[in-house]
This record gives sequence, C-alpha cells and structure tokens, in this order.
Amino acid sequence: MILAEIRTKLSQRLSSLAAAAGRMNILAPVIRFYRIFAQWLRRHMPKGLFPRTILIIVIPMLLLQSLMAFLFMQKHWETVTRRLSQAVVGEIASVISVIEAYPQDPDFETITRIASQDLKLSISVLPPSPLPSPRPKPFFSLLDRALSEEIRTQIGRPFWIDTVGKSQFVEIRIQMKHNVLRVITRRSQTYASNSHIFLVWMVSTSLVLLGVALLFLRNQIRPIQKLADSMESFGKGHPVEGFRPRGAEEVRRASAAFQRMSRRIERQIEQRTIMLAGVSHDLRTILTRFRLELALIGDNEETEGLKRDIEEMNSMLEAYLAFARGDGDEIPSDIDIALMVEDLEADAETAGAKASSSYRGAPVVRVKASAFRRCLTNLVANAARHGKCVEISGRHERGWLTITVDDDGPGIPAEDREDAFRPFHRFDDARNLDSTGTGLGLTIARDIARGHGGDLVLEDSPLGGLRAVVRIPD
Amino acid sequence: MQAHPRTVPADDAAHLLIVDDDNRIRTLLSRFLGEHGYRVSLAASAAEARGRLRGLDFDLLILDVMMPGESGFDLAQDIRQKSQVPILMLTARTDSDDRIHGLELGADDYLAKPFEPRELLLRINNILKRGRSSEPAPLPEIRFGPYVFLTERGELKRGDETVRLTDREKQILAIFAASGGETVPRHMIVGGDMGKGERTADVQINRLRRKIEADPSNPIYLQTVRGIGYRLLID
Repeated sequence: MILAEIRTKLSQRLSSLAAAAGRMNILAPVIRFYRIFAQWLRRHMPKGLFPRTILIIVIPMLLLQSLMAFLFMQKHWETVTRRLSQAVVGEIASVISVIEAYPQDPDFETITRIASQDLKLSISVLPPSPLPSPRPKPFFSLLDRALSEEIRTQIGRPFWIDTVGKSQFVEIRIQMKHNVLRVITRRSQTYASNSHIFLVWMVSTSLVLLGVALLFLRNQIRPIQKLADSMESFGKGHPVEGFRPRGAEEVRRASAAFQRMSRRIERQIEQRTIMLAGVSHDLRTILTRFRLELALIGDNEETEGLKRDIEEMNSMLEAYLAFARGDGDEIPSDIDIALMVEDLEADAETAGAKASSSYRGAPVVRVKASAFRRCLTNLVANAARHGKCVEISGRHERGWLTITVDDDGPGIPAEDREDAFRPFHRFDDARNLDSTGTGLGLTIARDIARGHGGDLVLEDSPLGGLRAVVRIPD
Repeated sequence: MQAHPRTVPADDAAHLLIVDDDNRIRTLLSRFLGEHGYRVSLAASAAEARGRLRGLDFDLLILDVMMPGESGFDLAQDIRQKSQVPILMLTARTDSDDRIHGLELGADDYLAKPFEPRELLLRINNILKRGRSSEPAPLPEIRFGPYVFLTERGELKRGDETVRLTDREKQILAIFAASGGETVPRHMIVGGDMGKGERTADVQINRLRRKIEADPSNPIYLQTVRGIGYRLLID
C-alpha cells in the first residue's frame, strides 16, 4: 500500500519534473530529483545511529557480495563446464574413431563394454535413422551451448542433443557414416553443478563477519548514545552522574568538552547560589529590623505608609531573588502535577477569580517542584489579576506535560507578546494596574519552563483574554 | 545581656530565649516581646545559648537558623535530645526544604524572615498555649462519617479508597485532627502563595467540602462557626 503510494507520488513528481526539464537546463531536474530522493530517504530510513550504521554497512556489503558471487559463478561455471564438455566430447570422439576405424562385432559389444567400464559412458549404436528434430532449447543453458560447441569443433558431424529431458543425464546422438551413436552420460560429468558449497561458505562467512562487525559497532556507538543521554538530562537540569568519556577519540573529545562545559555551568550556578543566599539573608535581616522597629513605634498614619513600602520592597526582593535564582539549585523530584493544578485553582479562587481546572494523563512528573510551582503560580496570578475567569488545564501525554492557563482579561496584542517576556518590562495599559508588579513574572516563568527543557508561549485565549501555555518534556 | 524592657513583665510571665547573631534584631525583638508581656533573655550564638539553658528553664526558644559557627539546626537537634522545650525557628531562607528540615529536627514552628511581628506574637502564644494545656498527643486517626484521616501519613480514606488531597488540604485536616473537634479559628487555616489571610481559609474549606461532602452547600462534617472559624465533626 505504502509502496504503491510512494510510487504514484514519485511518478507524479517525475512527470512534473519532466515538464520542468523542457523549460530549464538539464541540471535543475537532476538536483530536484536528488532532493526528492533525499527527502524520501530522510522520511523512511531509521532515525537511530545504530540502525543507520548497520544499513550503511550491510547494504553495500550485500550488493558487493551478490555481484561478486554472480560474476564469479558465471566465470566458474563457464570454465568448468567447458572443460568437462571438452573431456566428454573428446572421449566420444575417440569412441567414434574406434568404431569407424576398426572392425566391430555385430552388436558393438566390446566397444560398449569398454566405454561403460573405462569412460563411464553408456553408449549404444543404433541402426541408421534420421536424427530426431532438435528439441526446444532452454533459454540460458550454459551446458547446451558448451557441449554443442565442442561437438561441432571436435567431431564435426550432425548431432542431436538433449540436456533437458532426463534431469540427471544428458543424451547425445551423433550421425556416423553407417550408424547413429547414442551416448548417455551423467550431468555431473559434463557440468559443474557442485558449486553450492561455495555459496554456503560465502554466505556463512559473511554472516559471521557481519555479526562481529555489529558487536564492535555497538560498542563504538554506545558512548555516543551515552553522551546524548547525559546531555539531554543536563539540558533538563538533572544532575549528570557517572558519566565518563569513552569510545573513539572524537567521541572522547566531545564528551570531555561536554564535561568541562557542564562543570563550568555548575560552578557558576554554585557561585550564584552562594551570592544569592548572602544577599537574601542580609536584606531580609534588615527588612526584619524595619518591621520590628515599626511595630515598636506603633500604629499611625506615617507607619502605615512605611509598612506598605516595606511590604512592596519585600515582594520585589522575593521576585528579584526568584528571577536571579532561576531553578539552578533545585533537584528534580517526582511531583503530582494534578494536585498542583488543584492548588493553583485554589490560589486563583483566593485571588478572587472564578476558577476551574482539569487534568488528563498520568499525574506524576519529574520536575523541580518549587520552581515549577513558581512558574505556574506566576501565570495564574497574572491571569487572576487581569481576568475574572481563570481556566487551568493540564495534559500529560506522549512524553510532554502541557499546562494551559486561560483568562478573560484584556489580553496582550500578538505583536507585544514577545515584549512581555523582557525582564522589568511593564505594560502601560490596563495590564499595569497593580503597582506591585515587578515586570518579572513572565520572565521568571519562561526561564523556569526553559530550565525544564520546555518553553512558555502566549496565545489568544478562547475565553477572550490571554492564554499561556507551558510545555515541558517529562 | 539582659534586656531592659520599659514595662516590667509579671513574675509568672513566660520566659523566652532569643538566639540570633544579629545584634539589632536581638535588641528589637527583646523590646518588642517585652512590651507584650514576656520575659526575654538573649544569646548571640549557639554556645552562649547552651550556657543560658544550663542555668535556667525557658518556656520557649526563638532560634535563628543562619548563624556563624554552629547553625540553628544543629542547636535545635542537640537541645531536642535532652529537653522538650518548645522551639520556634526563624530563618532568612524560605525554601520549603529548610522548613521541613527544621520541623523534622523537632522545632515546633517555623517563621521566615522578614516576618510580621504580630504573626510572631500569635505563634508564640499558640505554642505556649499548647504547652500549658498539656493537651493529649494528636490522635493517630480521626473518623467522620465514612472517612478516616490518618494523621501521620496525611492520608484520607473512604473505605479502602484513598481520597486525593493536596498538601494544603492535608495540612488543614491535620489542624482539625489536632484540635480534636474544637472550633478552629480562620486565621489558623492559612497557606497559599497569593492572597493571604482569611479568604484563603474560606477557599480551601470550600474545596475540601467539595471533596468530602455529599452536598457542599449544606455541609455535614465541615461546619462553619459564624464569626469564628470552622469545625470538623469527629465521631
């Protein structure tokens, strides 16, 4: 079915190609055909390195072997068959000479006996009669050709030959001066038919060689697979454990470079963590003092303003720290995302929005729990701040976790959406009603989504406002 | 370093020990708590705190986590091996891992800097009240209607079926379990990252009702106590 489809597709493309060739120079269609072929290859060939390598090795090997076998067998059969035919025909020629040169007993008994004993030819001398009409010859019979040629050159008399009738034997009739000589000989005497041994040997040795090659190949490819796995896991932010450069030199070099890179990144993360811990400790200590001092002064109008300022400063500090921290210092763990979505729904309700949520698929996903929660909380807080209805839906299928947060707020025009991700960016319109907005919420959320190997995009919501979609691999 | 509060606390006032490496916070805390009727002693390091603990019995320890030298965690662990004095941890770190670590070590409560001073007072009061009333240990399990809540594992079961609960819902049920059927004031049911305060309690209670009540608008188990809070009817 698929093949037929491909064929019709190809023929369609080819016909369009032919039309194009009329108009353009000859090179263009060749290039186009090559592109189509390459595309087809890309689509239908296996994607893994191991199966690809196997194909690259096995297909040429198979082609070469078949070609070699064919050529060799052709040559071999030809030579051997000719030699064998030569010998048999020589024997027949000498029998004919003997019969014609020496007087014979009436039944040609002696010569028949000698032939069958010494030459392994079963002969009989028939009374003179016309030769039967030639039998239809097999199309590609080496034996027939070789024998006929030899008889023509060595004996040079009219003859009739039957290589088909009795499968084990070959029958030859030759017109002599007074009689007709009928020779029946075994096929194997004239024809090299024992060459299957050669084929068996060839196939079995190449199978063994192929097996050995596959074993070695797998060992060569495994380090590349390991490198790919480690890089993938590091990209998702999981720690890289027990990875050591192995395999061919190029792979080792790539692995060592990856290790150096990952160590450098880890070191930077570590330094940043230490710095952030210091900054947050010191600033929080000072904020604590402020609050205590204010509490000691007591409530009046001035302190109310100061309290609000401290509150704002605190929430900004938290946002900046969260932005700077990202998710670098958190270790992923298995989290029930379905329950997290429920929590977020509760958050949205608490913030005063009409919230609903849904979840489909396996609930447990490996994420950096508090970072991922922060990511979603930022989105839900945005939605609840700008809309009256908030809809949160999670989907976990085919290796991806997708969380969609919809609101019915004013939304963001498509051309401004990329700006929304810029740090410290604040919109001047309705989106900036809240004075405590730091302009970091979406930046942080996207950072975290990307830190999980996924992404965050903004779209139009069916509810009329903004839709934020977080998509991460599980 | 005895503080000199402006109002002299009563002799039977609760005696608190504040351990914090920040000099200003120590003095400010001691003044603040002194004004609210507590006797306060101060220590600048874990070593100094040990010295004071040897000489006196305190009603409550307020312990900073991040201190040079021995950390608050180490000190808390050490103290727990010998005494059951209530401990309230203060920290400038807000990671939930830290909070869990502190509570596992035996701290009674945990407050992140910068805290609201009034919240600190409230929590101190709560801890002291708990200690004084010598309440029975929280029930290992509570039953209401067809439900069983296993306090230690935080698991709610209906028959053999486990009801899926979020962490906050488990916390709330644990609070009800600890109250033993008494009315829980709304401000005790807090949580959530956005809207703070009592609205959070209402939302969470409503969600919990939707999970356990047959008719959430006419609750049987989770009842509202007008003007005060909520009550779980335990069998």
